[in-house]
Amino acid sequence: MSGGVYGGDEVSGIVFDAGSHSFRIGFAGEELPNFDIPSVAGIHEYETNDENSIMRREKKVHIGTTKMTVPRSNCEMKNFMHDGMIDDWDLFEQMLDFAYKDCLRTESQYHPVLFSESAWNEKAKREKLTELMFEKYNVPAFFVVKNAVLTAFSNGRTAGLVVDSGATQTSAVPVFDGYCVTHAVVRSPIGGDLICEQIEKMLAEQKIDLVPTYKIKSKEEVNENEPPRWTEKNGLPEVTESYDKYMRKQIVEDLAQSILQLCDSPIDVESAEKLPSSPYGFPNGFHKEFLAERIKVPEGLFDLKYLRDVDNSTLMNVSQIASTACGMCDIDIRPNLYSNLLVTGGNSLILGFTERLNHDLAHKCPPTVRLRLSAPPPAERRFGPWIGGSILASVGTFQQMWISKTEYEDGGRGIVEKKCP
Amino acid sequence: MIDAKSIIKSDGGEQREKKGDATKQRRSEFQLPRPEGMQRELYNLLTATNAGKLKLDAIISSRTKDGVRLAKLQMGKRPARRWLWTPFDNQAREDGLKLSHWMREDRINPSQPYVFAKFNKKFEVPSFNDDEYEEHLRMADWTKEETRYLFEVCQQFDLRWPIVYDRYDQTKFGQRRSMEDLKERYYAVVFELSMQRESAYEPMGYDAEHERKRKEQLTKLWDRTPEEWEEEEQLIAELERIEVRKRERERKAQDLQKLISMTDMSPASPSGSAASTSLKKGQIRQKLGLSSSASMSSSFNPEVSVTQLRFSEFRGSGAHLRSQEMKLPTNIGLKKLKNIETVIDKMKLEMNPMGAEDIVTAYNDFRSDIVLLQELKATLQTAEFDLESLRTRYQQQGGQPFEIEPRMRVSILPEGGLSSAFLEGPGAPTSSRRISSYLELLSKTDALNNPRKRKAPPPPGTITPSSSTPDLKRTRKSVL
Repeated sequence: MSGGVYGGDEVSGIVFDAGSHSFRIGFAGEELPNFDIPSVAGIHEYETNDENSIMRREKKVHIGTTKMTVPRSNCEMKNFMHDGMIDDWDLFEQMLDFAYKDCLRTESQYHPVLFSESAWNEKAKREKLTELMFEKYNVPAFFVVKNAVLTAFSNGRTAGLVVDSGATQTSAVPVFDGYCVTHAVVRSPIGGDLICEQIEKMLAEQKIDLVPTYKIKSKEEVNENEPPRWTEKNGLPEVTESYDKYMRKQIVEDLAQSILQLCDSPIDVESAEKLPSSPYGFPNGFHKEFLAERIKVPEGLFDLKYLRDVDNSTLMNVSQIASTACGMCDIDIRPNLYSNLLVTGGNSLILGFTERLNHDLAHKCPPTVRLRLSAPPPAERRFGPWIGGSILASVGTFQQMWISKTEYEDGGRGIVEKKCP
Repeated sequence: MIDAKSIIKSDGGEQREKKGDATKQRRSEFQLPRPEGMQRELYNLLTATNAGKLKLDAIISSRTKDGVRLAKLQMGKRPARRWLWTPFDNQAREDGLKLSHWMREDRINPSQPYVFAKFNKKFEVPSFNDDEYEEHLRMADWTKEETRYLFEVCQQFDLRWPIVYDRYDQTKFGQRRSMEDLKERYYAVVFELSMQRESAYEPMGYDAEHERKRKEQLTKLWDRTPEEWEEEEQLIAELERIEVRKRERERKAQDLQKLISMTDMSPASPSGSAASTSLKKGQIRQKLGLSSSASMSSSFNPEVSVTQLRFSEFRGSGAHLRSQEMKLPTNIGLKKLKNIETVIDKMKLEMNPMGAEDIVTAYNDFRSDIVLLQELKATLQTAEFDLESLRTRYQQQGGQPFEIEPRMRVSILPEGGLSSAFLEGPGAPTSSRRISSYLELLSKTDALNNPRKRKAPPPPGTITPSSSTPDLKRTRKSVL
């Protein structure tokens, strides 16, 4: 047995964590995923002339940042995830092929596979995934775990309330003793993408032109707030709208990561004005110092009134999500959940997110309740579920839990319901 | 003229001096007096200090062979052993899946069980067959299928009730089951089964009703608003205050009780004898019927009497003069002393009688009684004032005016004594003389000097019956 980690037994499993923003892939037992591929792929349909000069329509899929961001005509950007679950299975298969061939450079039949899924994943999808892995990829063993449970494991706990604020949604999932309480899962479609939309609206209001990088040939340095001077690239193909949108979004994401900050407590206008400004340089050379928008935009996560042009009647803010999920659980486990609050997800990396959540929840719940928010460092927060999967798949006592090929052959795809809680 | 240099120099000089002293001290502290024959240089090396710590680099041997290079890592000389990617058996698995892991060549041992297989602990949920079900396990609105399903889910999730409840398919059998329902059914079945199988089983009772109520209460507690928390805190503070007042009352009543019992005990010796007087005390206690009398009787100790004077006891061998036994203890306050003097004087007795045995005993008891009488008078006066204030309040609130009988009054006593009219009838005083009129109670200035450490009753001049100070409230309650 490979020594090393106490209780560990590496069987060279592979861990896949599919998210709406990116797809994390890596070997079990590692600290961080080896590959973090965007979940969006470029589907390029083009016509070629083959040997007999017959026009054929070909479709090529470009996965991975380097290949995807090349401007091409007729290249649609598509995301294979929707609503936190795998939606486009063809694209997903292409992603897996890419993962095995170009990233991991290994064959699927040698490695047991651990997949993460969202807490509200449907039975049909789960079974389809099982079938796909065993039939097409011939994996020797397979297992699916809810990503909230994996996040809890990555924090060294078996129970707690996992608040996952990701790209498309924010959800609160109570985990008890290594199992998800599925009926108490609360989610709302606010997340990183919503923040990006809000920023785009804000930029449009301020008449800032968002020029994506692929268009820029050269730029000149200008002072702050001066109109930018840049030259456009010539010979650009006619790109699709989705491509353009995607490239713009990249800039907005970068902007969001650089300047956004959340206030510790619900903001008042005076302190918002006093906030130090943060400069940002756009790809086209435009510089600006952002002041109050820094704090107003992410405030929409916690106070729905700050969301512009969004119908917030069905939405819930982050602290409401957390407290509702907790409230739906049995009263006996509620204190346990509150004292083990785990924050994860890329969107939670906004400065001040955890402090604000702590503050808001402290107001909502009774004063005797001990509220303890655990926020791991940024690297672990982005890849929380993946890390949990890596831990799980490399632990000696997990090796008896895999679904093996023989079990699948005997039990059919329904076995996943029985074996994977 | 003060020279900066001289200041600096003097400071440094001082420090250097101090340091020199320190090192000299330390050197001698090292308990290594220079052994005979040891070279001076060697001795200096051994005891050399660097800011108080021994300079050990002079003593530790070092190899100069490698010079200043770091020593090479000492590893084993044999060749590296190989690690092989070996498949292994997992005894905890039933399907024979062979996963592989790296194992060192010489440690490969196929017969050795997989180390982690022993952690495969399962919780066994009891199972039952149909006959058992038919005979013992029927319950209203639980079908056999549903019971079996419940047991299946329990087995799957190892009896983790929040998860069992969560994953239990509520729509499968139509009825909505709460967690308490599930637990109730499960534990009832388990209980029945174990009763049937082994009769010596301790009953594991599950009280569903209690659980439901407990959870309801917990939920209510959880859902409290901040206003309710505030309210509760205020109520608790209020309760504290009431408790404090109650304890005050009890203490006062206790004091009173002691006083009363003193009167029964005074003919006896100072240590008191409980037997003869216990009956009377019981009667008195009933008569008094004070509030919180139960607590009083439990803590009251008839043996201990605080109000009696403790004369110096002459124990041990050695002769002593009997007249010394008449000496007053030194710890009595001025007031008591004065009162004793006044009474003896007015009764035309001798201040220092002759020291015969009977005389000494009687004299001591008499003086104790005077002290006791003084304290009784004080208590009675307090009670009288309370009564007065109550009367005034009662009259203010529209009740009929009533007069306080002169019998109950002690603050205004005729010095000359009672009129003969009062001497008739049962329970009347036996003589017209009133010793208590001789006694003077606490004056205004003496309000704080209470040798009995009791909270001073309000001085006579200052009390106004119509005021409603917290003091009044307190004393009012003590009368009730």
